[in-house]
Amino acid sequence: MHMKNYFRLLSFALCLSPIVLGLMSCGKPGNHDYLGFVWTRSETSDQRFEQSMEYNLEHGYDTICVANEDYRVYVCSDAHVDYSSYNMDTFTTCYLADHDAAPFCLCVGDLINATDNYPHFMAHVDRIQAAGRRMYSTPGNHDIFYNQWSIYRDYWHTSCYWLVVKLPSGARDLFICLDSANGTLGQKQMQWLRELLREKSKQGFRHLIVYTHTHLWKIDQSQSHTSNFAMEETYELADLFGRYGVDIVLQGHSHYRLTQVVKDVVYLRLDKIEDHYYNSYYTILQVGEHINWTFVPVGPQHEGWNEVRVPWIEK
Amino acid sequence: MILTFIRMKKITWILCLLAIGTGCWAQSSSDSRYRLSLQGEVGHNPTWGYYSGALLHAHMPVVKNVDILADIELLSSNVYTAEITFRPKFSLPVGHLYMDATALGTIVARNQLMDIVGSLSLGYQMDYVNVQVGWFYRTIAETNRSWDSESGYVSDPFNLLYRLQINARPERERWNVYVGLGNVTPTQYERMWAPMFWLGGYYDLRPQSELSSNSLPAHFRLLAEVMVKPAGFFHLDASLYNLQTRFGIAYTF
Repeated sequence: MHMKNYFRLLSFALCLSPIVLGLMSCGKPGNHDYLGFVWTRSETSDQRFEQSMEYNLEHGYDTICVANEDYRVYVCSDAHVDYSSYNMDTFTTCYLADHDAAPFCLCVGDLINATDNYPHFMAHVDRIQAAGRRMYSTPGNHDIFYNQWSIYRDYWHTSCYWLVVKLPSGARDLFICLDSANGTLGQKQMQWLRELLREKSKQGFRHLIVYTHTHLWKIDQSQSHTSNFAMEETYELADLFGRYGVDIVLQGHSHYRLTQVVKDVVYLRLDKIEDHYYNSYYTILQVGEHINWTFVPVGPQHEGWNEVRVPWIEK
Repeated sequence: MILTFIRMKKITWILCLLAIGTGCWAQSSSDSRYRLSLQGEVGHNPTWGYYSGALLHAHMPVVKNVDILADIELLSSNVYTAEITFRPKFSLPVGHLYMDATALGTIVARNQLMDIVGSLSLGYQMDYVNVQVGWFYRTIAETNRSWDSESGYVSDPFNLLYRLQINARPERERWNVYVGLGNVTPTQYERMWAPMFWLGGYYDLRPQSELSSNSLPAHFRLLAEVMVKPAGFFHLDASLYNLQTRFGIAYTF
């Protein structure tokens, strides 16, 4: 190729680069980590899994007793807490005001938006813990980006675990948390999941419920430019969940709700609860003989935002 | 919903008409010889572990201005793919324009799923650059689903298809090295935010000076390619997901 052609190609690449870098942006201006889009600076999936298992082996897995056969689990996703967390505040207030809710709630990743925001999110977790309840979380891509896995780990200790919910009748539900913060479970977590589902599916659990950040299915453009699992991993997870009788998979990441059924497994993609946007919702999961869900609007844009809006509470 | 369907149908109609129109208008290609290639594959990803396989590719200029490309891939991970592409093309002052209409089916036997893809795309091939942009439709279905049922499958009606390859030398040279990126390869259609990157090359066992003679003798070409697919590219914390190498031989006649 002539030098002139090389020069043309180089010019073309240089012109294209601001667009590509713009698409790659994942945080506030001036706080970009471009390298993270081609190679992780944070620990890999396998490393995070090993560290999580170390904690799990030492501390075991939680069993939570609920008062009724039917119970409500409050679930939020994509809070992206930065300089404000009004919607998380509403979520926490509503959850704590619902005295019949399960003593635990879930956050399906992207707790924070960029760096230095964990304390703002954890203030809400502290409120929940002070009331004698717990929040369980799975990491999202924003939670480990900017090399933040170590901070996430300091707060949450593990990103891959399960917990048992014990019902008054003695029946049990199993919740499994998977770490998909960088769009893959990795080799070790995938193997762990295969063995866990094989073992637990024989133990007579009433429901198997999985929650993870990255969503499996992309069937429309609502997910904007959020990437998800590679196709090989999508096939594998769909098969595993279907084969071992998982009832529902809770996912976030795209910020928009979607319900999809594949191999008799319900994939429920949740809305964001992030501030500053219209259509922010959290979800209440009603777990009984069947599993149902309700999306509850939050946010300053919603009419009646100042009221505590919980369907089961008389004001 | 109905409106969306009507709009989709319009888009599909327009693209089909474009494909047929391009075919009618197409001009002859300089590359008018049949080529058959067989490549061995070795790869690794966290889901399948190590795997190997074979890829059979046929390039068939069936009439003067239209090529048909076909691929069959068999992988030891119990995944089998067949693809066929109808490619009308016509010459421009620089390079040539082509339009691909592709159907691809993958039987993911290990997971009792099948992945069916239909795509339409427009490409522009020059000596050093080959760029392709288009749309593809995907349906993932359970292999044992009842075909009169509306459940058991997931459809993704719109996906962007893109592919860019840069060659170090024009294709007529005896050897070449190329780099590329895109969300499609002959046997893989990834989602639009999951690009793959590849580096490859070929070497003709006979010099081009002999091949350009009137006799156009049959000849062999050695092929090699390395492809990487990251997980979490764009908006996630990226890491290497799949590494695959291909090597083989092509026979032109």
